[in-house]
Amino acid sequence: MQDVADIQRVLRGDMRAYAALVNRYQSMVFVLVRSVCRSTEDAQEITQDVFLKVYRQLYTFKGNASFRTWLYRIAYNTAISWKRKSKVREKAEDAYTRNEVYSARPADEEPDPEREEQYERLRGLVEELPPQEKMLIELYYYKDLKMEEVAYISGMTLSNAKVRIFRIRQKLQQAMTQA
Amino acid sequence: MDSLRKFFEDERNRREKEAASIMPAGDLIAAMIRKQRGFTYRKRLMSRLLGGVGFVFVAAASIVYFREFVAEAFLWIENVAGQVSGKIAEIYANTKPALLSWSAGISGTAETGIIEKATSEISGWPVQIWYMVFLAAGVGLLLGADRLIRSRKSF
Repeated sequence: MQDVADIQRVLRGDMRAYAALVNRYQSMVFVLVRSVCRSTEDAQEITQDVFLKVYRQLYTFKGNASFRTWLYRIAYNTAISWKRKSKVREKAEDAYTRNEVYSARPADEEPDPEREEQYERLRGLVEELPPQEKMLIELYYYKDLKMEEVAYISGMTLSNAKVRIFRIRQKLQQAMTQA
Repeated sequence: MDSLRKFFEDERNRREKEAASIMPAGDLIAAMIRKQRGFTYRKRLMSRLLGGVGFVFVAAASIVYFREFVAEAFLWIENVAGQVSGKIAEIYANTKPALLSWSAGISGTAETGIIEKATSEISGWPVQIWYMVFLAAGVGLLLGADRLIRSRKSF
């Protein structure tokens, strides 16, 4: 309800309401977008882009889906297209960033070599996935999201999304057992 | 499959911690939008002014240069409009008494109706009036299309 009230205020030209909306959802968008980015800076830039796009398209929001789901959809599309554009550049930076980005383990956690190794392998496998599949599996494992929402965000039919996610999980599982 | 879920949960938690350390960007984005809107407004205003002035100049120059052709074209339009309005008046004149007599038995003369007056008036307009009418219609059409496209693009 707060979202709807804020959106109406934004559409009437209240920029403070939009700032509040951005602050409310910034982390959520960042976390999703971060899954396809190699660096925090890139993720922040895309998050900014997402909110600029959202402002431009806000008048098209009809409330058929929740604002959060609608926002996710824009974030998903923005991240996918960014990933496509930056693919070439990332290949060149690959060797440098891979270690830098994923070496972060929270300081308060006990090191678990076996789990670290498994995670490293999984990260490698997820990295190999095409951006669309990567985002799809991320969304699937995202808390609070229903399969219908995942399908809406990714612009697929429900059955198509189910099949795609099943295949991705199967692919990851196979790769894990083979390793 | 549990390991997969655990992995994604851990990854998400890691990213959430990362997100928590980021400064709220609401005010920054709002300021960017304001700046962008100001720029777009000025750009739009300038392009409209320049476009309007340019259009008037081009229209005036083309009238001077193609005055004979324009005069012929508007005479032709005037004739066509006169013929069309004459036809409409004729149809109306034939239809009205028939309808009146058919519906209530009231008879009326076609010559006194407003349509006849209007059509005879319009068909008698000089070329200059036609030119102004079409110029205003053209400008209106362009402005309307411009407004429609811009409102769709928003900002």
